[in-house]
Amino acid sequence: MKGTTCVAGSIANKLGLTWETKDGTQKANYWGSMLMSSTVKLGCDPCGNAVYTPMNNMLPMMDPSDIVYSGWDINDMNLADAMKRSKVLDYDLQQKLYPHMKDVKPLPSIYFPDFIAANQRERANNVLKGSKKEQMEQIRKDIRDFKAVNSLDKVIVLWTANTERFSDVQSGLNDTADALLSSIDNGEDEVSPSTIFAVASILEKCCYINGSPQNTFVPGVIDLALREKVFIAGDDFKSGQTKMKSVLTDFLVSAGIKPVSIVSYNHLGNNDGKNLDSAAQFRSKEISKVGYVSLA
Amino acid sequence: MILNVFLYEQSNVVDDMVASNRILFEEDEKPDHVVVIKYVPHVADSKRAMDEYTSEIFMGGTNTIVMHNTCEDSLLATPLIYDLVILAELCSRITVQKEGTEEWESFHPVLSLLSYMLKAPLVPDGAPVVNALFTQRCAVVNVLRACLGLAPDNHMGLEHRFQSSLNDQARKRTKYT
Repeated sequence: MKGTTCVAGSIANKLGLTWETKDGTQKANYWGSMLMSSTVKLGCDPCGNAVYTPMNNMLPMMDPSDIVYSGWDINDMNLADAMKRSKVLDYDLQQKLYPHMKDVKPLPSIYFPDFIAANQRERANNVLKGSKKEQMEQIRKDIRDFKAVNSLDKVIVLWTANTERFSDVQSGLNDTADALLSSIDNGEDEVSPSTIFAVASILEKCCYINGSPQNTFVPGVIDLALREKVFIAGDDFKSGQTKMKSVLTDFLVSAGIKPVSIVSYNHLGNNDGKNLDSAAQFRSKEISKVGYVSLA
Repeated sequence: MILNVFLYEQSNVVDDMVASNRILFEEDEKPDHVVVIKYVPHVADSKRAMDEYTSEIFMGGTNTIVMHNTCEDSLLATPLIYDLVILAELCSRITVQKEGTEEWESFHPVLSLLSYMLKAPLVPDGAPVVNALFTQRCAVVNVLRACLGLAPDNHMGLEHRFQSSLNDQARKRTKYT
């Protein structure tokens, strides 16, 4: 759903859409993007006034509206209906975006039921078949085709799908690039879908970013990224509670105040929450939100 | 309803900040840190987060901060997707050359400059993890400044702290207006 919202936001901005809400007319923006909507102080003018410039004005960089988007999902719903289903954007905006998104369908994705919650099974109607190796080769081909069809210079792959359970890290399985590649060839159970996406991206020389908390980047993936000299970054979007945490704790400790307990409760009702309702996936999330943990 | 409450001994998200201050925290001493997540279909994408921070202040006093945050989860996360992708692409066009060497070097493949947008930053082997948000943002800003040939922003603000500089600026203001 974040992928859908990402495409929707890009189209709405590109077309300069406005829509009606109960509070009046709203127009598309990029608020919440540090690069697009925050400014940087360059210095002071001779009169001593601060001079600010938008961060994206400092160097030549991409605009989200210039990016060509594509993606994979284990559910085949077109992006227009997925937008309705996710209940994120205002109704009137959904109406305006609908015609632009109804023909966009996600490519079939990798689904290994063991890695995500059982309650996701009902969504899984758009999945690749074949061995792990064949599925990885299909993802590589998807990336190459997407690049060629759209005449792109660079492709960046970002995981914003379900949180997976953690993968076991074992010697000879996924601890080195070679071990991991041969584990994929042999169809080893413990290689997760996100790890296959990461390996496929790296082999295609595409930067891979992990927006979810699971350990996609087992040592073998990191080893492969180093060998191929391809960027990887992760883990897990820092959007709300943890962002506050990384501000508030910084404030307290640097004010000379000693935080002694930090307790966070969340509830949410999107598909993320549904998937996290399962213990193994929650475990991935708590490790990302809290750190290395041990249950008392 | 009984919440599943877990007690954790370690808390990486705040570790770097805690470890930075040995006046407040002994070696290996950390705040208790608990996170609970519940699935409530009715609220859909409108995520609710409640946080309680308890701190020890001057002379054994206690400060409790309670926050309630309500927000569409995807509308907070989506702008981060743009930033991650755009910054990653930009980083692929930046190389540095150390003084006295011929070679231009790219960022390490584990691209930790993207940490600002990430909850559990992956960093190169041997590099420290920085979670503090403004430190992370400062790193991005100062790398962009360096690419422009500008010195890092040091926030000293000396131009506004000495009478002679303030006088200069006042003269220029009169001249230009």
